[in-house]
Amino acid sequence: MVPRTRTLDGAERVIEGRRTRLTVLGIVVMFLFSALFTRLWFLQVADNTSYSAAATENRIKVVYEPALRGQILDRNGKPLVENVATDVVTFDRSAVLTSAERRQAINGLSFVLQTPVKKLERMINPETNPRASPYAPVPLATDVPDEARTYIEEHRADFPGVDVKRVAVRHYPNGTLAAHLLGYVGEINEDELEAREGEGYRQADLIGKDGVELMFESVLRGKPRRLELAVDNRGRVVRTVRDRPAVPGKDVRLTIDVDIQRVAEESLAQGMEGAQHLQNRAEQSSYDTFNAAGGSVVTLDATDGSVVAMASAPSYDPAVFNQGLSQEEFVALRDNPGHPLINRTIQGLYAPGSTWKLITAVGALETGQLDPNFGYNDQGCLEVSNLTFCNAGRTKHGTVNLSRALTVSSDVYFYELGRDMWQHYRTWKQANDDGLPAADDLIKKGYAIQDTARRFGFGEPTGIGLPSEQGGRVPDQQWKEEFNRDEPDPDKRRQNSLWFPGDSVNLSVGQGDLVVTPLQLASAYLAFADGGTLYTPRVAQAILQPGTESGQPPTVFRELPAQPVKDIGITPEVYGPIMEGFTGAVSGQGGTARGAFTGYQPGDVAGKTGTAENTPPKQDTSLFVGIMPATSPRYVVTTVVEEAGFGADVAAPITRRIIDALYGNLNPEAVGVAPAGVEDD
Amino acid sequence: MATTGTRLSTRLPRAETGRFAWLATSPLRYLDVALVGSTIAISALGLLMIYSSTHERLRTQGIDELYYVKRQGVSMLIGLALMAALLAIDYRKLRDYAVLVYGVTIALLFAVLTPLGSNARGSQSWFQLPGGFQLQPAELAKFGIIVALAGYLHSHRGEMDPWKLTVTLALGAAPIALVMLQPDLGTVMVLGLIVITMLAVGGAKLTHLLVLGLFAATFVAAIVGLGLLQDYQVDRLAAFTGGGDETTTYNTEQSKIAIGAGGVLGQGFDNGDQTGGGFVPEQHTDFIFTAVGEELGFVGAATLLVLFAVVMWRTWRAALLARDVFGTLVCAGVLAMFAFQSFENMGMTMGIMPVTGIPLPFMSYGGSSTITSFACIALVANVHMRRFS
Repeated sequence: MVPRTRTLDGAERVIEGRRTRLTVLGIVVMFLFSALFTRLWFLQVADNTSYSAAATENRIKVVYEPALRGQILDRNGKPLVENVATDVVTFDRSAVLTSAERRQAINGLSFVLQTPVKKLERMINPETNPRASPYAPVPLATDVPDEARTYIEEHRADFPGVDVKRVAVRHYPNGTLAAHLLGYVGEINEDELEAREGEGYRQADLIGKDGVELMFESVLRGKPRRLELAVDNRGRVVRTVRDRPAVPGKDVRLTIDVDIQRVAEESLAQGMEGAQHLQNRAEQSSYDTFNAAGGSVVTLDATDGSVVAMASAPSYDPAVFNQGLSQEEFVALRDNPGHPLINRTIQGLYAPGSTWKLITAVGALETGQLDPNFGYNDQGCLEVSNLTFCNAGRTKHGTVNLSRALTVSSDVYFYELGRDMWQHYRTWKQANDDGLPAADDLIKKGYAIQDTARRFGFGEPTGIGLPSEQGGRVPDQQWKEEFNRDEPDPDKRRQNSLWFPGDSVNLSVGQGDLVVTPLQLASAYLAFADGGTLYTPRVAQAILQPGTESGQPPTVFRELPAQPVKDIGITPEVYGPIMEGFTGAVSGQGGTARGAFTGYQPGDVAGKTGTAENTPPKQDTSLFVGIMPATSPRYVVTTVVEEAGFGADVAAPITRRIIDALYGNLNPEAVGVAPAGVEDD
Repeated sequence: MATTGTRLSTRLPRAETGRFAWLATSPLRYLDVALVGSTIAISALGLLMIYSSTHERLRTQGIDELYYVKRQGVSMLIGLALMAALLAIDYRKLRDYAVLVYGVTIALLFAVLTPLGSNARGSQSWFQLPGGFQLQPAELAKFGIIVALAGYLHSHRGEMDPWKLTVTLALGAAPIALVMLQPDLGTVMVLGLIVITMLAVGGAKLTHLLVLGLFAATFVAAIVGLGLLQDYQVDRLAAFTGGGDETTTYNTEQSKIAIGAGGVLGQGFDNGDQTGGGFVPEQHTDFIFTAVGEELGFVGAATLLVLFAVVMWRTWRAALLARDVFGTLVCAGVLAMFAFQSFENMGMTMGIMPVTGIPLPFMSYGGSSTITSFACIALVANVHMRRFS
């Protein structure tokens, strides 16, 4: 060791009490470090779990990708709605970008998409493009070519906020065919989001909006892919934490036959077109043609209540909803005077006219008010409490029994029944009002039509399952009372709440306050034709596990069997004379629809025409219900054309063409309205 | 000075010839290896943490992933070189230049307020140097104020009277006032703490300190009351006391989450989601400790605390062993500076101190801070190793 010089320079003395002062300083520093150490312990060891949870929440972003939506097939597996893949370039308006980054992205897009910058800016700006959802990235281009997709993906850094997504869009191989039945899909709205809370829907998701797309939404939708992504503070993906793959939606096989559906739509269009050139003979002061602006056809399989065809006109193109419809465009479509979005088969409410005579006849027969063989002398008109009710054109049909009355469509025959029913009703009502014991039998007779109508499914939706189905209305005294409950004038209220003879008489021929949907009418005729089994009409046969890309065919996931509602027990005594009348109407002497069905043998087809009066200036509704064949029926076809005159002139020829197709001729002769030899209904 | 710390030992063979012959008589054999070693270890850890908290972001921006690491490395090398240079000079020579050091400090603080200095985030606080480097005179002022006050108090042999107290305070107040004009509240607090600590250790009587405390309280009240604080500074204090808006509490919340999520063993180097994800703002500078907490866990963070504690302990010991007033006061000033900065900085990241822009010595990215810290350690080591000569 070199000797240390330990001598202290006199000037270099130390501070007085420095050890004490430094000790205090040291203790303070120790205290501070103890505090740090304690805090560290609490954060990392004692309270670690709660901070870990907070950190997880912080950095995990859950992303959902919609599953491939299921297809909709016809009864033979032919696609009605399928998916096609398309590349969509989107720009995220909410992306946090510097103005330079944003400019770079837009300029790059302009180059890649060959679109002017100004146009892109217009699409991105929420004010100039209100159609785009504010919550989702704005689609800037669909059907993007592969090169553009590849370029953007390979130059991700040059396109901040830009994304290319392969999305599946709905494709309708048959165009507008069965549009009302199929419905359409669109972006979920606030109301739907609220209504479907808990079902995992998110903003900008697609959802079935109408028809089968809505009815089978939960089946078609599948389960979206759920990606848990670790992201940084700017939302950039660092890695995938968890990936639950999407479960594709299941396919739905409908009961529709695409060929019959096509013929039905063609026939309806041809018939409407024809009616628009047909003179309205009810208008005698001037030459007037029919408006025939709307109509519908329902074809049911009589063996199980399946819908084979369901057509409504005018129609719309469901594909327009793929691009997303602006509010204005949607309102324009919705408020179009022709109501193209309405499915008239289930939402159209019509007076059934003479087609209703089925119900009146069944009711009268079953309550013992009618001897089917009794010959009644139809003198063309009937006076009921100061009102005169007449046949169309005041035609005198002479002596007619029930079958004949149906064949030639004698209204007076049924007016008479209606008047009788009202008498029973009045007797019962008076006894009831006087507090006397009123016989059940009386009211059964008095309300025979109403009771029968309800038994056949009128007055409530059939339960087919399609959205917005209407129930129609079967009027009686209680209904009138309820309907007029809010009438402020008590005298008027009392008066309007009464059930008048005219009400019963009108009801007997399907007029008055009665309204039905075409589907109800078809369903009721089916229940009659099959001898008393009332089915819930069904549009779908089965839910299918979709086939795989490797060629695995679809397999049945769940059958959707026919659903009979109840047996309403039509006895042969009731069935016989009515069916005879329906057969006669198509093929018998003086049959109202004979002209429309020339060429068919007796028994091939049965049916009933109907011409329902409306409040002027609205023209008559043309109706026809066909049953084929008359012996052991297989199909029921109901055609309703608004403002098209006689059922025999328009609805019957349309029905005939569809029945041609049902008999196997898929290219039948075009509809000829007002066929020769037609007796007016 | 092409030697490294590991080769230095007081137990070197007493070789009269050979490569290390000069060591036998050099004060370097008394170099405090623990002190210097700890600071180098902390710096190295700092480099790793700067890497893990910046490279992901730099990569996505298409910049060299090692951009910050390289720059910090250069600062460290400059700091080490400066330390070596300072160690070569006897600290007592430095003592004689105290007036000059003070003058340069004041001059730089003045200059930065002129158009020569640059402005960032409302603070006129640095010079733009060639090569993209920046110099923050307020950081250097820490070194300057320590040397200057120690020099003045030493010349009066540690005897304190009201006049000397006033002069000392005035000497401290000048640079503090200049820093406040930038403004840089964090550095003002550090400088103030240094002055008070040096006064306390340097012989101020208890009554002096009480009076001083009273003045300080009035001063703080005046600053707050007269609205001399910037809005963000008020926000930060309000956030700390429980009020404040969401953006101010965000830093603290994210920082606490990151440290808390680290747990005992941490998520592993370069594996912290909060760190890699850039959730904590200013993470490579003021909030560098959160990266340690998240990625290295309690074990790593506690080790860092221990390393800092070693630095404090060795500095404190040097203050005690110093052979003159200057040495004691220099060490006390450095101790005050490091203790306050590390406590405030780490405390802030853990939510027990308000958020202020005070860097963590040797860890936080920043050249001026790193260089100043090494210079200060050089002072302490110098005092320590020349305690016998």
